Amino acid sequence: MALIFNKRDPIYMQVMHHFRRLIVSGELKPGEEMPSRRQLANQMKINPNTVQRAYSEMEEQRLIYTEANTPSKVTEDPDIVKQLKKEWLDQALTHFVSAIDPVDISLDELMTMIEEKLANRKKGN
Amino acid sequence: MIEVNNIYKSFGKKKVLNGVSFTAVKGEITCLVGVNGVGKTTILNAIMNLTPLKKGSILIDGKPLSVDSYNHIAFIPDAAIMLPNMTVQEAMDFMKDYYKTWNGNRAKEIVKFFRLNPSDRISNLSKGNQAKVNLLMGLALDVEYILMDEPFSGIDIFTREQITEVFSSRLVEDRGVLITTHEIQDIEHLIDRVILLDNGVVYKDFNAEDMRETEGKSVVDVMREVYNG
Amino acid sequence: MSHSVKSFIKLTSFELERISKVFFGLIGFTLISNLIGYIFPILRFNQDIEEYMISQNISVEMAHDALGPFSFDRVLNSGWIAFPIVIGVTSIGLYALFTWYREWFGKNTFAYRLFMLPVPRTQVFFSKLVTIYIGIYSLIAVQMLSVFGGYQLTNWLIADAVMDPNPLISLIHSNFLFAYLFPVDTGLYFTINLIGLTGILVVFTIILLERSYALKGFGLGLMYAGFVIVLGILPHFIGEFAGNRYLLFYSELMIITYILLALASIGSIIWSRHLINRKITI
Repeated sequence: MALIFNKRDPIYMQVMHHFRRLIVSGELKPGEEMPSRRQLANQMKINPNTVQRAYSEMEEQRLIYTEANTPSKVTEDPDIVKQLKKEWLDQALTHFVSAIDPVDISLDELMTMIEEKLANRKKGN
Repeated sequence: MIEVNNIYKSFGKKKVLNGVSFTAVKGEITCLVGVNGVGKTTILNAIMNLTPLKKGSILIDGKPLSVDSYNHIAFIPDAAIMLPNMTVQEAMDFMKDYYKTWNGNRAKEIVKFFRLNPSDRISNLSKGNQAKVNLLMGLALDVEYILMDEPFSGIDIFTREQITEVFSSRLVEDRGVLITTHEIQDIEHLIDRVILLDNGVVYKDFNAEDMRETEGKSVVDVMREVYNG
Repeated sequence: MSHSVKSFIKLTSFELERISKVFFGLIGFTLISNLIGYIFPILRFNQDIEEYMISQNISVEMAHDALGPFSFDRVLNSGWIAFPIVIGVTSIGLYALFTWYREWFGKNTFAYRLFMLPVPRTQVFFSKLVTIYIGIYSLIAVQMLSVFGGYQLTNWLIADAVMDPNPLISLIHSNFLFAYLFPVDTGLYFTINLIGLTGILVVFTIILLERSYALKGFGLGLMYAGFVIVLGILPHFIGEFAGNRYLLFYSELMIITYILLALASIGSIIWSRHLINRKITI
């Protein structure tokens, strides 16, 4: 789990981003155990308190849950995962839209380009 | 908690510490940062009663340092401090003889982690391995606080990586760690608190993560502002 | 056994281990030098007799009569005995400095470890002192045993008729060096030992002053040493000052000197304790 951290953004947010991505992509399945805080800190070479902060935040957002004396697990609530995916796409689209804003392009042309990109991505996989 | 209250120290006419105050708490890694000669080492020495102060006080969990404090606080200086003709094993035996807080199992774990050979004589070790022996002597004590002076100075990059790993490991879990360094970039992600020293005073005292969150600045950014501006 | 007694014994045996090489070296040197000192004068004596016999063309008995008996005093006064004693005393004196400075200026700074041990720092101080004393008295004991052994050896190698009948004890009594080293004169022995102890404690104090206040401390230390010396000899001038040389009996004078030296020793310990606990810089 070699994550390259950006030095100016809070590390805990970067850790949360990393896990959101894993959940959205399905690499982390509902109910799957999260690594322990210490383990994660050691793997990512970051401060354990920072990991703790990321986990607390994720618990608050109900992305993960912790029962007494067991490791934290990924949420099993399909609504939350669905919501997460929606937010993820929403954020990506907002970025996308603002990024292409300077270019004058019709929706049809844009759709063709997007389809092409998606097809390439699938081939790449 | 280690409380440093308004301490003053001069060497001859040179005022090194001019009213320094800060705290370091359990479960956090606090980093004393500043250019060379700013008095970082002097502060650690003063906490361990290895140099007298002109003024001010230092409390550990509310009490001034006493003989018993050495069972609660360990210092890893930036110099080899066991006898050169000792083997690593003899150095460990020496520690075990005097410290009731010596944890033999943890010592074994650290020896393995650092890939040290207990039968090696300290004088025959590389500088990096001598630094590891120093760390071993401090980390294997079951103490609440660990002070480290320039743990990364003058060692090769691989040793540096190994030592960096210590900070996010179980070895310092739940302890209060106070380290000094003048090269922070390698451990920016590992520390909780930064205390910037300049001209004998604490110039800035902040939580690294809060700094990133509220001002979008890295620790190095803040240092740059202080030392270049 | 209490924790602190245990740690003191451990520290002292640790210090003894560190001095052991020097110590066994000194013992070896003393014994070898002494052995040469026992055998050489006898060979020389026999050679003299033989040469005299031949040159004068006389019998052994006549040569013995002419040259006199062999006295063990010859052995005791030879350099083979005195030299190792001088070396021993000098080494122990130097070790009193070395035992401290090695902690700072050795290859590694062991002072850190020593002063961060969870034992009172005065134990470090006293373990060094006791180690030096074990060294001193062991060397003296070795020297004593060696002299007794050497006397036996001489008796064995020299015919009874030719041996000076003076007993060993009286020879030791009249010997300059041994009068100081061996407890032959209780008063003198006590004085020498008290002066020695005060001396080492003052040296320790000077070292700790230097380690606490650098050059300034060293200057202060020298002044302190001067003060203690004045204190030690002052009683002997009381009579002069009072205009009456016979004001005090000699024994009274010595008691006053002893008390002053004891006070200087205690003062040195108290000051050293303060320095090592509160003022020392690593």
